[in-house]
Amino acid sequence: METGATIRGKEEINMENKRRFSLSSPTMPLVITFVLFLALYFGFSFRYTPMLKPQVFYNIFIDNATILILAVGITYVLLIGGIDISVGSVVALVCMATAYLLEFTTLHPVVVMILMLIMGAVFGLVQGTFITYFDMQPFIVTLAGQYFARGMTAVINEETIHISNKVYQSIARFQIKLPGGFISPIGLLSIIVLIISIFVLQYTKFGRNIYAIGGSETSALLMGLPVKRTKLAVYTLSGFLSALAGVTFSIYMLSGYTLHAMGMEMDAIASSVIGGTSLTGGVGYVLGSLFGTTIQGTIKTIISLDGTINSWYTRIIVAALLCVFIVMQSIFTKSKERVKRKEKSKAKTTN
Amino acid sequence: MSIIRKITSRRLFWPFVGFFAIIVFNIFFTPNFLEISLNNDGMLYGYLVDIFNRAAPLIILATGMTFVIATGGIDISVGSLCAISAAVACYMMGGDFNGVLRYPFWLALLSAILVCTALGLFNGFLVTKLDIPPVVATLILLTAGRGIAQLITSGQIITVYYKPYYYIGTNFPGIVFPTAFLVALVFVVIVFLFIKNTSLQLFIEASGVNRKASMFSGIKSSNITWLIYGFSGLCAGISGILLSSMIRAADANNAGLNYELDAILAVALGGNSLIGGKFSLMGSVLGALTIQALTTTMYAKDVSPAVLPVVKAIVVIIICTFQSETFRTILKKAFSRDTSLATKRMKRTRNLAFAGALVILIFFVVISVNPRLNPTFSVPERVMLDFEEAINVRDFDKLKSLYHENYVEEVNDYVDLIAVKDEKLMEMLSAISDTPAQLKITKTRLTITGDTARVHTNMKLITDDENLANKEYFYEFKFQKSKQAGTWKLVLL
Repeated sequence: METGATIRGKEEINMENKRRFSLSSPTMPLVITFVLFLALYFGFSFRYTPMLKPQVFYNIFIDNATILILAVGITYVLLIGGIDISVGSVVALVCMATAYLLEFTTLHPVVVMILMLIMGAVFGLVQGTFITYFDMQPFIVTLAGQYFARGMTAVINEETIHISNKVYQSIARFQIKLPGGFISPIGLLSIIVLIISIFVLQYTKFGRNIYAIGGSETSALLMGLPVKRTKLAVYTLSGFLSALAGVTFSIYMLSGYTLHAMGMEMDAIASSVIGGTSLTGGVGYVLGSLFGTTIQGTIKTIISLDGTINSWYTRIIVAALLCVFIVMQSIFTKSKERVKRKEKSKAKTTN
Repeated sequence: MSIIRKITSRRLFWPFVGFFAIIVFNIFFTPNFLEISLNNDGMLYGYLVDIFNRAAPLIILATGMTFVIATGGIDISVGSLCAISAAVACYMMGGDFNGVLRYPFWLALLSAILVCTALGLFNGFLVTKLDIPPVVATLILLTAGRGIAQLITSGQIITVYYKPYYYIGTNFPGIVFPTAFLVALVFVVIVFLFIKNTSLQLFIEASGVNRKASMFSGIKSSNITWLIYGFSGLCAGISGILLSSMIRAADANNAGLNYELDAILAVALGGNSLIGGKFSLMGSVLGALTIQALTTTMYAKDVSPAVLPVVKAIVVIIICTFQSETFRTILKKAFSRDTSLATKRMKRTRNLAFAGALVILIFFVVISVNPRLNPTFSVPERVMLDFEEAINVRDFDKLKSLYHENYVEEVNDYVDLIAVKDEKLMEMLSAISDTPAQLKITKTRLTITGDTARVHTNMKLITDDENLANKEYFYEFKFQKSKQAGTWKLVLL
């Protein structure tokens, strides 16, 4: 009798501990990712000393501005339980259209940028309409969107078009001074987008609706939330942000090419997931996508500093990380369910 | 009337109509479409044979995808698995010029298929045992797959010079049918007989419709689903071998590129629901044939292959829209004779949609008819200069220090890095122009992607001759980083 009682006591203590540390809480992956990033960066900076220079750190933001913006957009979509794999192709399409319009017409660069953003938003709107109003699977619709955008890129031009526009070039060359180095305007823009998104998701009605829909669409509907409108807005936003990412990428690459941003949607999704966003929706923070992106950026920096490692390892390491984080998520949700089930059964027996 | 309804309500009716329509179109508009002859290798040759031959890898892939989709899942890693299969097979055979193999032929093929099956089972493990959504689980291998294939081939395109390997992509001597077609035929027949004679189809459909209910009725759905993902991997393995033997090489970047959408499209075209449940294998086969027929038609009609993905995307969207319940009810309401308020509103929306479509149509017609509204773009003609000997690269170390993934920079500041010898420039000039002229470098760009660096220099000719002045001159050369030493070496394009 006594031993049985103590065992039960231990179990209860364990469960309480679990709840206190709350390994399965949504902030935990965020913390893990942040720690992982710091460990990765500073761990390897002993071996590759240039990484201790501030400029190398800033370069991560400059080089990955596009992926960061895409990851922010993807995070919104993942939070409502959807997926958008058209973003990389939209980046390529925007780059190509920008290059074409700047080089072969007399449109002003600002007009071109605005046109591109409108195009992205409309692209997202159309995809969102199919997904929300015709109940089609987001994966299929955005896969078709990916094909469409990539195909249209090739239809515009199959060759590389270099951008020689003065405005674009001066933006690309502009440096914003920071202690110990500089950051480019696109790097700054990506961080501004991130900060706005954090605000939108945490402190606005729209953001709370997104979390509610991601948690459970049916209950969100029963609560009287505008489910369809919110979903449509999220896909439109994703399209808009991918066009914005495309504009930054065209400034970064200063060219348009059919094979630009190949597989970048996977990088963005990976960033978001490594940052703790659940692929089943409702869980995650947009800040996580920042750390997801910087982890990828760090791996790229390490590989380029080493110089002998095959650059394909980036993808493989990212996929391995992705695998680990996805498996971790699934184990967390499973253990959460188990705890819930236990509590339920306990409540039944006490009744 | 009832006979027509009976025929049209058959599952395979619409997939067949789609395929047949493309064939009929070709019979009328493509010359020699039905002609079949023997080529030098004693293989049947012609548009029709081409459709069946080239569709073979897709048919096999679509077979696996049909099952996966029927269980309510999806496998987006198949394209990458094709690349891995091709890489494993070609690595095992080795790129020896005399056709000497590194390992036996059968072992190479078997290990390629086994590796892909194992990876498919890994997908299945993630989906069934860890309850990860299929899109996400297979996303991992989609991301990593081509990287793994690159590692196997160590970044090179391995070309195989072993004769029997060619036969897979073409035909075995003495047999008039292409091997790929025969492989696909045998494969489909085996799978078809298997599901006909066992209750597997029922089990798969049951677990696709309602996983929990089928579990309670005693079907081990999770194990079946697991096996199905393994089978999808196996299909990708076979299809990867067929694909690589058609080009006689393993190209990790392009083998099976975008095949996942084609496979899903084939399943959708075959009249299968993408949500899962009931499926028809023959429908998927017809779907794969339709896609290949479409592709062949486009090649025959000289349409740029670049347009193809756009067409495919539109076809997918149209099919999925018509499969959607919601859309069907909307259509029914919009065209019904019911006069209730709800349908009235729907009819108003319909009229608005028609009006909108009409306006857009008129807009495009006006733009295309009126030449003044049609914006004409002036694209300068580009002339490539042959600067083979004119390049003088002084400082490779500087290039190495600049090395960065996807790095692009104007290199005007690094004049000492790449300098073009003046005398050579003058020689080039005199060859181009008779009148006194001056070549002016407008832009030099250094692009570094992966292990290659590319220098691209644009020039303008300042001269009185307008024909020459309006052209854009450029030269381009490439550095490659060697694998072991990490040093840069000049490769002329």
